[in-house]
Amino acid sequence: MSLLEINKRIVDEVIKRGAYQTEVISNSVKDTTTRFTKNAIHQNMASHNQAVSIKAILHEKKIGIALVNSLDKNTIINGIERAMSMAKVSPSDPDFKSLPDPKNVTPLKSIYYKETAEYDPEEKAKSVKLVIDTASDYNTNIKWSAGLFTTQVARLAIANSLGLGVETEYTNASLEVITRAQSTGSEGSGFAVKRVKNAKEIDFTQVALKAADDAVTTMNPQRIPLGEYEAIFRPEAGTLFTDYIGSIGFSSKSYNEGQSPLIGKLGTQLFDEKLTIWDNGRSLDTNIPQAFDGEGTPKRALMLLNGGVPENLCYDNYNALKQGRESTGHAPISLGGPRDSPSPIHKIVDIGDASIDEMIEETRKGVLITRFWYVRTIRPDLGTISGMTCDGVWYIENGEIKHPSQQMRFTDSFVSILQNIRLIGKKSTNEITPSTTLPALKTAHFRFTGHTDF
Amino acid sequence: MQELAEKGLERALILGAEYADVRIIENERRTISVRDSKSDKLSHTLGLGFGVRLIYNGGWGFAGSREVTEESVNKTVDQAISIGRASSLTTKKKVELVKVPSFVTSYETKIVKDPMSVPLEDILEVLISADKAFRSKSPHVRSTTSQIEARREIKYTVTSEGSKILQKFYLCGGEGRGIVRGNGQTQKRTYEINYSSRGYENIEDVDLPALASQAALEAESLLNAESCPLETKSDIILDDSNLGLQIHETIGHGTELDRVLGTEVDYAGMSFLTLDKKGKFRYGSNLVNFVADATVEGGAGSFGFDDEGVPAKRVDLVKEGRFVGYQSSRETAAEIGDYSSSGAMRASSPLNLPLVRMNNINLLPGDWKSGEIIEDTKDAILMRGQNLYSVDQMRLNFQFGPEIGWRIKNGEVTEVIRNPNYTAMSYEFWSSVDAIARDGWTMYALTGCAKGKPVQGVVVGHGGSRTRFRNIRIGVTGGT
Repeated sequence: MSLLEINKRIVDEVIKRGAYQTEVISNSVKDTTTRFTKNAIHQNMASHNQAVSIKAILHEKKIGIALVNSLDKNTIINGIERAMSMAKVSPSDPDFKSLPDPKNVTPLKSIYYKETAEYDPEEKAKSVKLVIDTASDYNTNIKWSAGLFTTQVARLAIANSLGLGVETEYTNASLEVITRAQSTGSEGSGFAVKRVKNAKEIDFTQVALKAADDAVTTMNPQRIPLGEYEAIFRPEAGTLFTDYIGSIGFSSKSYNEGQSPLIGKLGTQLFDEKLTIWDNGRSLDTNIPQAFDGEGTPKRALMLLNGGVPENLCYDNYNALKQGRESTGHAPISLGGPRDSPSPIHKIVDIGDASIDEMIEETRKGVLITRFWYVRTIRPDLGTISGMTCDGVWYIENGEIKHPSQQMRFTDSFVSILQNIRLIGKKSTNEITPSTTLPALKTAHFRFTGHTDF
Repeated sequence: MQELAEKGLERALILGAEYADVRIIENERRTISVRDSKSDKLSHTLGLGFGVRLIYNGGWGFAGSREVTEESVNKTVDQAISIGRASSLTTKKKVELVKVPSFVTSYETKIVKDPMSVPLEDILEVLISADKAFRSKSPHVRSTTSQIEARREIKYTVTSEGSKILQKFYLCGGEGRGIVRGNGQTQKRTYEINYSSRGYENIEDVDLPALASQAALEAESLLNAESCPLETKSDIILDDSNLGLQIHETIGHGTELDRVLGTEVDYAGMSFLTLDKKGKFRYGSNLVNFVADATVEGGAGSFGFDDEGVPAKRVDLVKEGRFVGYQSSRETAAEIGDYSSSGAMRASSPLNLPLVRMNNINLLPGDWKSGEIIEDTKDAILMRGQNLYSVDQMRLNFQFGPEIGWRIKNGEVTEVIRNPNYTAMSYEFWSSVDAIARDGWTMYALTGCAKGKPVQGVVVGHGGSRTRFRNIRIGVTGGT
């Protein structure tokens, strides 16, 4: 029996017990993770998780949720009873209008690959060994490599009592490599990542070489002064700012709570006109496309930022109906959880016309940044965030890379950073992060506020 | 269930495992949350699953599943064996574990009132009262949330060295917060019932609506408060859960031995406390003493035995300011030549590998009275409430931005300061401590400490009391 068929049976059972509406979400996830460090595998695992989330809604708009980790009949009946008993004591939610009506969902092709599902442990270990050996052979200064290789096969089904029923199965795989090089006691660090749907598309040698090359070229980093710099963000780094503007800026929930920096600015020229960002869950150009959202609403293209003008917010069904709108298909998949904030997780940034080399040539005093680490929000309404650079920063002067830099703390506003975008890369990638397909970005102003010792 | 665990262990050994342990876990969680005085989430989670960890030909293998049947146990053990065999293709040396005695025993959290038996209506009443209390004191409120959560877990662990350990844990706690907007500002204030290994008495001991009212008054005061002085140095005082977070990020994570050995470089990062620093490095002033203590009654990270069957213990991490010990596992302890594990191995679910995790990382009380620290302070900012926290990969440079501050002037608490923040290097920060209170020592808790891949979130405890830090850089905004 498919997950969707199980969900439909549960829907019938909940309605039989007197619920006004009900929604059942179930998933089955098979994960494998091979972690390695200092040139050896140290953690190697597989797991098969499954969950069924049952939401019971009574006539008085009282809602209860139960989550069970088993498809066993008795456990599911127990879950139904728990959801009903939770609903009975719940206060009414006057903002709840209805679960979504069924809409036509066209399934996506090319999101499931048996090559990913069938990648066996020995093959994985050999792939990891290839990464380790490739990096070690690249340069005598290479000290060690670390990282992880993951595969995932996921099945997701959603049914509700209004007749909605959708199901999907998809795969993804990722390889992340961190390589350290050492010269006269000073370390360099390189990072490379590849996220794909078909694990056979990972070129292990290429990923290893990129991490190794950056490790070697970041040896002997120097401390640069605190202050303002031009900054070139590789896609791994640039995704930080598009994710922030997506989750805080374009979420209808954070907008209505007064947390979004876009409040009162929709339809205005807030950002540089070169910047255009879509969200399109159906696009195969995104890393993990989805045909429907966490409520079963079809995914579709939504213009977020059009030539620097923020245009549309993201809604799930609950927040949309509360404001007399229609869901944009941005309900997160939330099993047993509260309503998470609807936000864009399939962003596509339009490409520009510059290469990273050209960005460097046009930089007077700046930095090239590989990625960030441990970034947190200081003030969401201003977009102020703080965090560290990670694995590869180079100082640029008068159009040339002068030397690698030590890691730096920045404190700045992602709004201001995106307002000052000067150049956009001409080559986009969807293999860096699951949330955004984007090119490199260059901003005119980026503030470093702290040093560290490495 | 226990029989299935033992059968799984037996199969692993028959198939050639050099070491094996099996954990079967049944867990239950009730989460009741309220948003804007309406129910947000009333959920009940029922979980069951098992994990098999083994060493085969010197390599680690692990597999876990939610299907707890004999067939599934057999299949999962076979999978763990094949993964262990594959791991051994890259191992340079065989895994070694420090010795631990075998135990056939049980452990149970001491509780007075089973949180799973408390009527949901009673919990909702507390939450809605708190939510309304916040709203009644805050004309500028934009949204409010509050939540109470209870967890129960039964874990049976068997090891190939003869241990059979049955443990039953309870955890209970909650929090609420309100977001206010006015005067061009958006501010928030949080109030908490620290998660604790206790029953529902942990909730009943606290007047949540009173905490909510106080939080609302403080949130309102932030809307018209002075900003934190920009880019200057100041003495600061910490005395609430933000102190717990500070301990967590700098001392807790910094002293995890797996980080030092590089096994978390791909996610959680490493640590500057390299092996050569043990016993020598000055991590704090002479007043500073930290322990990892899984035996604290009620501590959110307390237990009887860790996931490798190592009994709960208390170990010194920093003694009179000197870094003296790590949090470790049987494997990491063996790797650096220690004779015993600190007993820090925990997994967040049966489907995850145990990792070196904090249990309760505590700053031991000092000699001062809390009030004396304020009276003795000429000019400082008292900062409270967890908000921003960011630390570098080596646990050196950090920046914290609590929710609220108060200026301390000539021994008195004066006006409210909004958007306070401070930054320092970890060892400089703890070396600046010149006063720690002996009273008001509290166990705080963090419920979402993230580590490992796949990411595992566990609950950890942090004890501390009012502490004063001298000459710290504050007011870092990057000009925004």
